[in-house]
Amino acid sequence: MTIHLKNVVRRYETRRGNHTVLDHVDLTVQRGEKLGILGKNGSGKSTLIRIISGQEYPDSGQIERRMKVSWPLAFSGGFQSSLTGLDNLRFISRIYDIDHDAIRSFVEDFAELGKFFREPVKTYSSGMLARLAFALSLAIEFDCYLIDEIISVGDARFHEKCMHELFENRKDRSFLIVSHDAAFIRAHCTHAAVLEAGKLSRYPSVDEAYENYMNVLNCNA
Amino acid sequence: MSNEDWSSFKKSLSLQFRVIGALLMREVITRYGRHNLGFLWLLMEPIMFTVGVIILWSTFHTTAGFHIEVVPFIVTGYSSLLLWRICSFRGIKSIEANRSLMHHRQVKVQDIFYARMLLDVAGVTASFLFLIVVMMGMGLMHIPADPLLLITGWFFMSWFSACLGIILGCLSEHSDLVERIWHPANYFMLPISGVFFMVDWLSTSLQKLVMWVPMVHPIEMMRGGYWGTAVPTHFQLGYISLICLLMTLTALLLMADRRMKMLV
Repeated sequence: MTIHLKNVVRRYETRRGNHTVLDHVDLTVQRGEKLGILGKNGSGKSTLIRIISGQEYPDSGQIERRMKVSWPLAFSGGFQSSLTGLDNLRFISRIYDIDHDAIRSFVEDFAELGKFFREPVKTYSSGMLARLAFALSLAIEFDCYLIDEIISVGDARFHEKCMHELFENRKDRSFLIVSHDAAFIRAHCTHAAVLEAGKLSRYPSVDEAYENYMNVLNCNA
Repeated sequence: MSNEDWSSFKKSLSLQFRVIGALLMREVITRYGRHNLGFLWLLMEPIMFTVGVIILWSTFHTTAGFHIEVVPFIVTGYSSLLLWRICSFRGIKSIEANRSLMHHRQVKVQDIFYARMLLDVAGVTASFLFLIVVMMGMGLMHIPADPLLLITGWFFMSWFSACLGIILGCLSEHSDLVERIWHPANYFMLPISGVFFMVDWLSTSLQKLVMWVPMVHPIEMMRGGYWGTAVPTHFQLGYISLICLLMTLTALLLMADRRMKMLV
């Protein structure tokens, strides 16, 4: 049960030639591993997460997903806006091949949407959308959760509830967290890497990764 | 194929069917909704048009040299027009309307197009059948002389339209120009597509030209299927098959372009 990235290259076309975001990135995530990837703004963290989740393809290189990988958590882009929350739940249940009746009450309770659960998603506030997205990603059991930046869902109480569900109730799973916030990574990860100029370097400990990340930040300052 | 290959192939196939099924449900809900008469409109539009044209033609063409019945002529022609018009316009908006769902790794560009085209072809086919039944009930149409030929014509028209929808849909993701050009192009196709004429009515030199237009062939087939040998028709099964195959290949290649998913 691993995720394996081999020689992953991703370039974006710009008007002034290609911009290489990921430059031959290799990465292995083991079952149960909590890996944090530090990188400053624009270093390609989100691109990496999207490639791992399968939203995007690399220009070259390989990705092997030998475990069930989530979509980026608390990310609210995976909904069809004219469908209701419930219809979106049904859609997602269908594509993940799970019985929507089984997760419906959990999502309904967890997301705290009340009657809006049966209203089109386009009428939701960003907080409601994030709650629904978070509830759905908890309802479907994944082996590896992808987290893009600090999760900020709802108020302090709701946030606490999410953190508990994720990091306590699912501590046997793998987590891949990308963030520019070193404190968040230090709080939740056992391993860490730094993404800089398209290159990913892993460090033996979170502290070493942190030091190197600080050097990167200072060099640019 | 080894056992392992076979089981992974079956797995992928069942996933794809599941995703297409889920997308179909999603399209049905947003399009026909729970609160409005969306589905009814799909049937009403061709009916309204057909009735309107019948009134016009019976007013202006009372005795003037028409030796075929207007109703089946309009029904076959307009339903064909509806097929490629709906498929092409739906194709152009496919990715746009489902962009957010592509954030799920399971949802591929192909699935989105297949679901849309299936639904649109099924919808227009339903309205076509409905029109035929209604017109037969009113005594304005009879049972087709050669149903198999009529069905074959409809099959080619559907195949052509679905490919057209996918091709335009893919191209429109690369450039907005596609949509802008397709609107007028669609109108220019009307007079040459065989919706409003039979090939046999034209001069030999015009016939030669018009036989290059793919839509002419299925429409002629459908009319041949309706009237049988009573009305002379012109079509080449080989030509329309070749066109459809080439379009299928083009559509498959365009959808396989990995950039399609990256444009998310």
